[in-house]
Parts: sequence; structure tokens; C-alpha cells
Amino acid sequence: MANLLPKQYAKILFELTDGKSGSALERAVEEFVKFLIDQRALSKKEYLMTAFKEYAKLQQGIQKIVITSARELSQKMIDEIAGLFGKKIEVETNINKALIGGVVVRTGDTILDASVRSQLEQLQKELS
Amino acid sequence: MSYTDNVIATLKKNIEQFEKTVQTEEVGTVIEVKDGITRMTGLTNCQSQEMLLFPGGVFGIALNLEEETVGAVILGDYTHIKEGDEVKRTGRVMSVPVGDAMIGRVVNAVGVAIDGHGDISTKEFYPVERVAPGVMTRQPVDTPMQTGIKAIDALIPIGRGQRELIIGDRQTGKTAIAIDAILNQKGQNMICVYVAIGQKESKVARIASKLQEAGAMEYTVIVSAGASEPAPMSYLSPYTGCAIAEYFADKGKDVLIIYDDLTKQAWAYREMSLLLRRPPGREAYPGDVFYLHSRLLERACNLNEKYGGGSITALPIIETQGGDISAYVPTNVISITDGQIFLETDLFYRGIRPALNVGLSVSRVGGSAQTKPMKKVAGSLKLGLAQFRELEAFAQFSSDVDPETKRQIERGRRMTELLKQPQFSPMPVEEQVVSLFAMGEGYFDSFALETMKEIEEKLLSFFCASKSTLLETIAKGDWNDETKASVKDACDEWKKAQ
Repeated sequence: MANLLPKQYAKILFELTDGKSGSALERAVEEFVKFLIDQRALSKKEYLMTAFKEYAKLQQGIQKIVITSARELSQKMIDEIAGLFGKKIEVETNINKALIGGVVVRTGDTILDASVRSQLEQLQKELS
Repeated sequence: MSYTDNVIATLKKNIEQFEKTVQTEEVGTVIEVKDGITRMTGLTNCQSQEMLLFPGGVFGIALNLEEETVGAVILGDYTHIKEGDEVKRTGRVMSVPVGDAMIGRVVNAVGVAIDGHGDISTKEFYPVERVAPGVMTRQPVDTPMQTGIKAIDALIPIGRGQRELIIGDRQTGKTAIAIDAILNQKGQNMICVYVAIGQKESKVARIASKLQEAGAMEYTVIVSAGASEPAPMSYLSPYTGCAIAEYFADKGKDVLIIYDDLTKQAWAYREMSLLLRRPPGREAYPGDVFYLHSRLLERACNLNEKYGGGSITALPIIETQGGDISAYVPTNVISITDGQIFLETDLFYRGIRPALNVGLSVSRVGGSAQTKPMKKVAGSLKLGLAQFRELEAFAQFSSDVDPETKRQIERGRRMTELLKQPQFSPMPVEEQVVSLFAMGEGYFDSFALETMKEIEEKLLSFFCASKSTLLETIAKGDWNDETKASVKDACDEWKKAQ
């Protein structure tokens, strides 16, 4: 059996701990840690926690988007972009000068590329 | 509207259209890279066999679609790909460029020129995996595909649209037969595709220069996946060659395609499958190794007039180990093809070249495509040779044999001698007919066995010099009592002059 993916561990942990508190939660986490030791995956706990946070947010209906732009965007602009994707949105912003202009928005596995760079690339493809 | 206004309007329209283009891309993340294989997460809507774009412009093919991950093979260098890299979907299934510009070129498994003569400009793309033509589009094999090798054209004839396997150990002249068949297609309105799978680059270079020298590159495309290239290239190259062949067949042309050799493709596929963690079966090949070859060879066809009348003749090559044709891949391919040409090591070392085993070689459909003169003169040849082999083995143990047996053995020896043919010297079909006719009628019986080659040459040059109209008649495929009588007269005339 191939090793499980961080995403799969995150799902297991979420299902185990969801809605639990106090000693029940402690018991669940203990069981999960034992499972990690069994799988020799304890050293990967940082990746796991990142994946768990993302998974938990997704379960609560919070969508994460990553906006990459060439220059820093104003808060108003960020809100406007985020508004297009729904209500519960968590925004992360990046700056990448190589884009020249425009924005690239990533949600999950989909990238919406409205950067000047990609348009120039497309123009180049059409002209050649 | 003035010209300037027109230009402004057009440009404005272009700008408006251009601004609308926000590209949506679906991506995944690499989580594992090893031995030319990657596993990725994401790529939610990825199709099977879809091309994926890796960083650095390298393409891959998605093969394993699993619950959480996608497994893909990388076509090209994978050393720069690392965990966390972004992989883009292209939305296209694997396809290669095809076109007339491909003729005379050497390309790799993805259709890119590797012969140093610049890029190939083609407009069309064909998918490498295509469903074979159906029943309604086909017609029976009825036109011969002359290889120019006497032993093959007479005993195991190949028709256009047939799939004839060439099988034998290493160093038995398998490639030589294939190359001779290509050389003999000159002026036959055929396109040839030679697919070298996992071959030495030096061998491919030698074949290319030989074909160039003989003027055969004018109608030939070479697809090469070298031994140093990753396994996916070897796996892919036969399908690439087939896609190129299909382009010409769709244009109504007759195509000859040679897969040299499918054993190496099966090895490459086994390597990929094991790395992709697919369960191994017999000889560690995956369960679908039969389908690997059947779907490829089924694409050979003889299309009927309604579908353009093109054809693809396939000559797959299989290399056996120690003459074992009952290994997994050889038996598979034997059962798929319409017959096999079986080459043997001991025949080869006894100087019988091509080292054809007449007993084990068959052509299941080619007989109906043989021309009439050839059918007449070669009809009894196969049986005679088979009887000779048996008698010869028998006569080894007893010194005194009756005169009839002795005569048969003598005839058989001459026949075997006559069927020997050096490499790169294909013979036109009409000359083959004359030579076999003279043999059958006993015109060679009075000459010494060692001089057969010379005598045959003398006879043929006599025919070329003074009986050219007769040769033309035979070449056209006419054969009746009258032609038979005139060939006989001509042979008598030649015999007298000796």
C-alpha cells in the first residue's frame, strides 16, 4: 500500500475529531498519533497540519483563493475580486513582477489567468 | 468606409476580442517523481491519455487516474521536475503532427525532426491512439506488396493491407528483410514508414544513409525512439508511426509500415506499467500487453473505394530468445497477425540467406493477392521444398537412395540455392517468375550447384536483353498457355546458347 497523501490524513483526522471536545478529543488525537507512528508518518506532521487546516476550512465552507499580481493591490480591489467567488472567502496575496500586469487567481486546482504575460504569450503564439 | 476606417474597425474588434481572453487552467501538483514517472494531486477533470504540460515545456501522458492522484509518464527529460511543481492540463489527447512534409525525414516519437534538417512545417495533427477502421470500411486483401525477395514473394506472399510478422533470433536478418521491402517499393506508388523502437542510434543512422543512397528516402519516413531515450518514447513510437501512416492512407495512398521491433516496445511498456504499480502477470508483463499490440496492428487495413481505397501494410518484427516462439509476446503477436516469416539462426549460419524456415512460415491472406504468373510457377514450390527437407534429413542416415529420391533431393538443393539472395538486391517480380519457371522446368538441372547464382544471372540478363516485351507481359500479371509457351521457347533458346 502506497503512503497516504497529506490530504487523506487530514480527512481522517477531521472525521475523528469533528464535534468532539475534552477527553474524547484527546482520546481521538492519541489514536491518530498512534496511527501516524504505525504509518511512519510522524515526521511529516507539519505538512499534515497545513493540509488539515485547509481541509477543515473547506469543510466549514470557507474557500481559499490566492491572488497573484504584478503590483500590490488595494484592499478594495481584493474585496472586489473575492466577492466574485462567493461569501466565505479567505484571501492570500502574492506579488510576482514577471506577470507585468493583471491578476492570476487560483482556487483549488483551477487557475484563472488574466495576466498581461499570458496574454502576450498567447499573442506570440497566434502571430507565429 | 475608407480604408483607414476599415483598419481601425478591424483592429478595434481584435482588441476587444483579445481582452476577453482570461484563460482558465486546471492544474495539479507533483508529489512524486521517479524513473520517468510522476504522481500528482489535483488535475480534477484529467482524461485518460491526456497530454500534461510540465515546467520547462516537457509533456507527459496521464495513464493512471486514481482516487486522489494521477500517474503520468514523462516524455523527455525529467531530471528538472521536482516535488511541488505545477502541472497544467492541455485538454488534448496525445497527438502528433502529420503531413506530406514528413516524407524523407527522421522524427522522434513525438513527431519532432531529429535529422538536423530543420523543423517540419505541418498543419495537421493526428491522435496517436485511434480506433481501427471498422468492418464496413474494409475490403479483402487483393493487391500484392512485392518485397523483391524471391523466397517471400513466391512462398509467403504479402498483400497490401496485410499484417505479416517477421520473427527470429537476434542476428538472423529480420531488419534486412524489412529494409529490402522498403527498397523494392521504389516506383510502386507506396509510402514507407520505418519505426525504430529502442534501436541503437548507429543502426538507425546506417539505415537512413542506406535508404538515402538507394533513393528510398523520397518515399520514406523514419520514426526513431533510441535506446537511450526513456521508456515512454519506445512505448509511444509505434503509435506515432501508425498515425503518420494513417494520414497517408486517408489520402488514398498505399502505405508500408515496419515496427522494428515490438519486443522492445513490450519491454518499455512493462517497465512503465511496473513503475506505475500496475499488477504484473506472466513474464511480469501487465495484463493488457496483448491489447497493446492488437490495437496497434488492427490499424493495418485495406480500405474500400468508398473510404478512399488506401491501405496500411504492417510488418511487425519480434525478436525471440533462443528460437523460442512460444514465449508470451511472440505467441501473442503471431495470433494477431495474418502470418509470419520465421527466420532461423542455423539456416543463417549454413549460408541460407534470407534464413527463412519454409515449414513454419505462412501467409494466411497473401495467396489471394499473388499475381497469376507467380501463382502458377510457385504453386508446387512450397510442397517440394518441404518434402526435400524431410528427404534430406532421412537421406543423411542411409547412403543408398533410389534414383527418384535422389532426383528430388538434387532438385531441392538447387531450389534452396536459387532462393538465396544477398541483401540490398531486391528482384522485380517478372524476373522472379522467369527464374522460378526455369527451375521448375528443369533448365538448371545440368549445371553444377555452385554455379547456380551465375547461371541465374545469365538467364535473367538474356531475358532483359532480348525478351523485354515478354517480361513486361509477365509484370502486368498476364499468364496463359501462350505466355507459358513463349517463356519456354525463350528458355530453350538460352539453353542452346550455353
